[in-house]
Amino acid sequence: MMKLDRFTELLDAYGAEPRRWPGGERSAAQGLLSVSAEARARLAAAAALDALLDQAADRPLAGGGALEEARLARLSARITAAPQTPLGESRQPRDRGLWVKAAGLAAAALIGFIVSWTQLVDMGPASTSTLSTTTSFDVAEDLSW
Amino acid sequence: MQDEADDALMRRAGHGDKAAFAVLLRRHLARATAVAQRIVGNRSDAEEIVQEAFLRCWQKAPEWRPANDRAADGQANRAQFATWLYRVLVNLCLDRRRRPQPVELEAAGEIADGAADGYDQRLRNETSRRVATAMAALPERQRAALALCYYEDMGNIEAAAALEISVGALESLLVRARRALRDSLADLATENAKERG
Repeated sequence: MMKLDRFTELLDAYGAEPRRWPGGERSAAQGLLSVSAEARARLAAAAALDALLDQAADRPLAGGGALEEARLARLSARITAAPQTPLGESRQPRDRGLWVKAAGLAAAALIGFIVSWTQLVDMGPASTSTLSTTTSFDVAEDLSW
Repeated sequence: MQDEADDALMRRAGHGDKAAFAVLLRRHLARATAVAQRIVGNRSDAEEIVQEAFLRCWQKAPEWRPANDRAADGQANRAQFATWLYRVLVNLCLDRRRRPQPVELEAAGEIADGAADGYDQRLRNETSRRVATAMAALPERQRAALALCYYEDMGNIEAAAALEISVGALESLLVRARRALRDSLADLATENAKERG
């Protein structure tokens, strides 16, 4: 049987109408209701809030009958006048965007490599005299052929 | 065609069948407008958003595949039409990021009750106005959860899918929404309880 805590959570989330409770928990909740006075009291409190919320329930749509039909027909005609997206086309911009980003990253990496490599080459002979123990400059020295 | 399932109609719409699309529109327009109106808080914005959502449906229809159609591209678990429609709709509503007018006196006045006398009608309108104000003060996602689950009786799994969150997260939104409403409408709830008692 459902515990009172979970029943209270159900009321707090879905309100007092069993039709709004999750289908998998409805019968357990109703089982608790049939034996627990506390559960029934909490249901009544939730129902009071429901009654207020129902006062802001559906407002009638403007028009109706022939007027509503005409509105629907106009709306449908306006929407279906727009061109449809041909199959597969909507994915292209996203794919293209991905390729552009990937190319940008690759270019940035390449530029970074060239710049650092060039600096290493330039700094090579001058630096090795003062920083002879630094591995990177050892490499630079090797590269400065 | 009127009895055809949404997914079949959407497939036909994908082949340019305007009549099939018109049936879909007729079937979902009122509910979609009600959901959007509850989230954005006013009718004109809601209608604009709903038109945009249906325009996207029409434009994307050629790519539509229902959930049980495991297409050659291997993409499983595609949304059913209604879930997909409400996901688009809710996202458009949330993207609007326009706070609604807190009080819609005109809208409250629209609620018709021929049987009520003048005093009862004023009382109803006042209550309706208070509820509308309290609803408008909620964060948009809480309002969206309430619109789908409470006002449109949408199942929690479908509503969670429309909001692109878990069922647990949906419940959390609903709990926070109802608690905030309960706090701000406490005096009215007490009056209601006395009348009922």
